[in-house]
Amino acid sequence: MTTIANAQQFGLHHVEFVMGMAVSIDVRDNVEREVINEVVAWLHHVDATFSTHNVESPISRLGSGEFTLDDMSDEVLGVLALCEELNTDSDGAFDVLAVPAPNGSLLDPSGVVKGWSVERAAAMMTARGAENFCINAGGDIAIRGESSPGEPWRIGVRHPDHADLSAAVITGSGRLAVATSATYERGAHIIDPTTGEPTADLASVTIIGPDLTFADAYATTVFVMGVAGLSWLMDKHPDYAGFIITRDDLTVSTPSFDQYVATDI
Amino acid sequence: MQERLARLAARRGAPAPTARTNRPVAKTVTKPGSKQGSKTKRRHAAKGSRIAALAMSVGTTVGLSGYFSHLDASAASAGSSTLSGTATAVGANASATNSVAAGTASTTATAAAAKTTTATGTALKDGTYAGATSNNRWGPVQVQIMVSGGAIADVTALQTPSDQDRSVQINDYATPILRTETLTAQSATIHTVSGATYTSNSYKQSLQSAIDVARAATAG
Repeated sequence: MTTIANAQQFGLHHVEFVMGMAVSIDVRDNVEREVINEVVAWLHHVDATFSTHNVESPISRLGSGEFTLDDMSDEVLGVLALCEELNTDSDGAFDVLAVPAPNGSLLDPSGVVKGWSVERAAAMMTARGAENFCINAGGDIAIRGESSPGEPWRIGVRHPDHADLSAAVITGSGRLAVATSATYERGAHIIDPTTGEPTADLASVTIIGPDLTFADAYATTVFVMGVAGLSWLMDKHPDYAGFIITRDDLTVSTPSFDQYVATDI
Repeated sequence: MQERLARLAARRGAPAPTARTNRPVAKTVTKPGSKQGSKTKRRHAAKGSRIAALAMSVGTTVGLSGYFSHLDASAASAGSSTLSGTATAVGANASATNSVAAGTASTTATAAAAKTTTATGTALKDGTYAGATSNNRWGPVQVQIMVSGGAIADVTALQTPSDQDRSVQINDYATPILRTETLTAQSATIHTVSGATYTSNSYKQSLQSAIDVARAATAG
């Protein structure tokens, strides 16, 4: 069994169910409760705006054709523009207009919204004086600072077959994001936009880098591209490291991944 | 975006998206065998092969991507300028067939067979095993593994596409090297877990795990 490292002497730990997932906010500084409340309110705002489960959300109405881009807020337009940048950047491998969404439309920017909203949440917390914290949004993680003075954060990458075991342990401090795309939770849910078929070669893809918005999107991109996606990552985004677990139990990683791997397991 | 949304609107009502929705479910790769039953042995197998975890750079570079059948055109074009890789494909499941199909794609069928073998098998039988020849877009690739003491001790490339112009060109310019190892399962001290748990289907599990973390943190 995985054991949880010694917790902080002080600080706050809050778990909120929002955007269809559990978001865990673990702050290791003495901060006002109000900081957490702000972040939680922000995440609910994002959910209400971008949810593809709620047919009343602006993004659902855009997907259904009820609304056009002219009806969208600058916030939504900014996210959609980011989606398009990622689509171009990945030569179409990342596509928010390719996969059927829960609301029945073909517009699902969830793959960007999660990382983007968590990065914004982290920035809010930093602005309010929090220096050492970890936000885990359904398995995608943004960290800041350290877990305790002199100690980095330790993040397990879930083993595809064993939820309670790690396939690797990542350590990091300062500003770092860790995102994992995988099919073990609900089958092959990552669709190759170029074929419409689910991708099947990989069990999971983990991307590490400075910004969760991009780490999350690159995890999806690499999942679609397959192992070749790591070369794409090294070529285009050398500040992000990649770690793949294939369905036949191999791991493939970029050399830059090594610097994050804990050796004291 | 506007243009693509317009295309989206045009596509709406067409039967394709609906058909597409159903397809992944049918093709979902499920892990055969009981997770509980397989756990102990799998961990042991993984630990054993961990010794043989390989991060080697073979002199000739081989497009690792070619080991996997699923490649789309965009990936090919994006990766071609810098793609490199180690000619290292390690199969932990060689004992079942006495061969390692290094180049075969992990289709549902082969993946399923491999999982079953891993769950019920023991250490690898000592010997040398040549993998099937696989063609990637730069040419044929074939690797051989040597098993010693039940673990993979060495991997060599029997065939690489290095004689082809394309590969020579890649060799000349390639710098990044992907590294391949066998998967290990670790019990470790961690603060949090990265994984895909964000869907509503996994809500309970995700929430529970987050609560567990919170509880442990509180208790500590």
